[in-house]
Amino acid sequence: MRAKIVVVCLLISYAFITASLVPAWQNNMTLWSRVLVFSPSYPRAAVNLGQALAVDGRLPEAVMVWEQTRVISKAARMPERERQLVLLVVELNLINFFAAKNVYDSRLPELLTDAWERAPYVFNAPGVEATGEWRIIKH
Amino acid sequence: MADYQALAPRARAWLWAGVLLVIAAGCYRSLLTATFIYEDIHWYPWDRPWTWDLASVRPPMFAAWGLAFLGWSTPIGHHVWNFVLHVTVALLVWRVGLCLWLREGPATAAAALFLLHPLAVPSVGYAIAQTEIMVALGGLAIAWTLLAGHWTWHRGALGGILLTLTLMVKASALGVLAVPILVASVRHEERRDLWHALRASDQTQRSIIAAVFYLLGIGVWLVRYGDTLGWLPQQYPWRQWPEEMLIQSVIVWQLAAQSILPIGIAFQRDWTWVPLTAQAVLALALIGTGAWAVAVRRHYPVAMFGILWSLTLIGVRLVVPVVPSGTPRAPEWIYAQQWYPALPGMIWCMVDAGRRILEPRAIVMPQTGQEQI
Repeated sequence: MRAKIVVVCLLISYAFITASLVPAWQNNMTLWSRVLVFSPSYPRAAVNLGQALAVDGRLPEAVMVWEQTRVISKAARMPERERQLVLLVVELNLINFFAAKNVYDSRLPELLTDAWERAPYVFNAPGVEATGEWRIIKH
Repeated sequence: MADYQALAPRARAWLWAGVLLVIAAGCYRSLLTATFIYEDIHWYPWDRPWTWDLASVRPPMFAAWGLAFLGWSTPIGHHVWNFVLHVTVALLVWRVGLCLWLREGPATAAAALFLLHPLAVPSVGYAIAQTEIMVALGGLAIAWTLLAGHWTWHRGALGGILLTLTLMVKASALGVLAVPILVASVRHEERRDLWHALRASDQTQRSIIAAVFYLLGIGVWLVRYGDTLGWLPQQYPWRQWPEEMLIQSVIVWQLAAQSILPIGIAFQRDWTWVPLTAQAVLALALIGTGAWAVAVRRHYPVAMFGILWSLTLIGVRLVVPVVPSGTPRAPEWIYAQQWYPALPGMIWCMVDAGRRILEPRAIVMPQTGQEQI
């Protein structure tokens, strides 16, 4: 009888916890926001939240999150390969954002330098030509 | 209450099953409005056949996805299908539980706890995690096939087919290989209760399995934590798919202390440092115990250590669908509760090893041939 009571109590608590976790899986926004509540210094979550915001058309917020991610990633304790990847994605996203606005931003030179050093092959991809003077020409 | 008492046992079982199913469906109801998330889209190649290659030929998964698409080509279809698969796995947990314990009570409790377990949320809510459910389904089906009756070649062949299909689900399904090995080694015709089967199994078989799993454990620990802590170069040669297999094993280590995380979440606290510290301590303790058992006891303790350790792997890998390795390591859904079935086995193993070392042993005196304590 005692074992049954324990099992029933466990079942009730599991049901409540499960029901409370499921809504986080509604969409990318809810998912990554939820992750960041408990892991505020988890770079991949921040990158993905930024992308979810951008897809939703909330670009200023996305840029804010990405810039925050750059800071987090440089200090976070994580495998170096993943750090490089996160930083590259963030930098390319920010470069794309500024390029889309078609205005010069003072952060661009630093972003371009960092991204180039991390992955020059990105700039040598078909359709993109990079020059030594940090001018990217889109064909 | 009187009406309930008047019900036949089978009717009561159906009543409980129905209640549990309704509760589980209620817990997951909000997925009906959920979208595809994260890597879901990239992993469904049905609309992009030109992206198919040898690595993506996974017949069991295609069958599952195909069925989902036949009914619904929307996220709802995948979530409903994942839920149906999850319920099926829970049924298999019940059947395997019956084979292991030979009693309905513990088997039903295990299946019910599995069905409502919070750790299953990512597997049901995350569409591509269907692979994890399929691996669990395959692994449990193999165990059920091999345990459900007396050994026949038909049964063995069916187990082999199921194993092949399961291995085709994904590379990391290699962890399922442990199932037939373990079942074959501990199977005992007279008493199929797992506990007694373990006791009655052949010493040499147990020692071989123990050694394999034990070495795997040490290797995993070194690779995983060596990588995280920066002890190993980033591009070491075994970086790719073998690690995928090893990850399935190292999860055991990770799970130990993460069981505290749900409590922290309940109090809105980030206690990730607890598991990070404790899992390293636990891993060292387990490796130390095993090494000491090898050096001092030679046979029995290390064999039991290995077998129980491998059981914990199977418990983790099969009883609960594992969170995809690509999923971010967020405390609220990483592996936390997977540890629960594994922990008692680990504790028992250590206590048993200690008890056997401390208990008085009979020594046969060579001169007289008599036993002496």
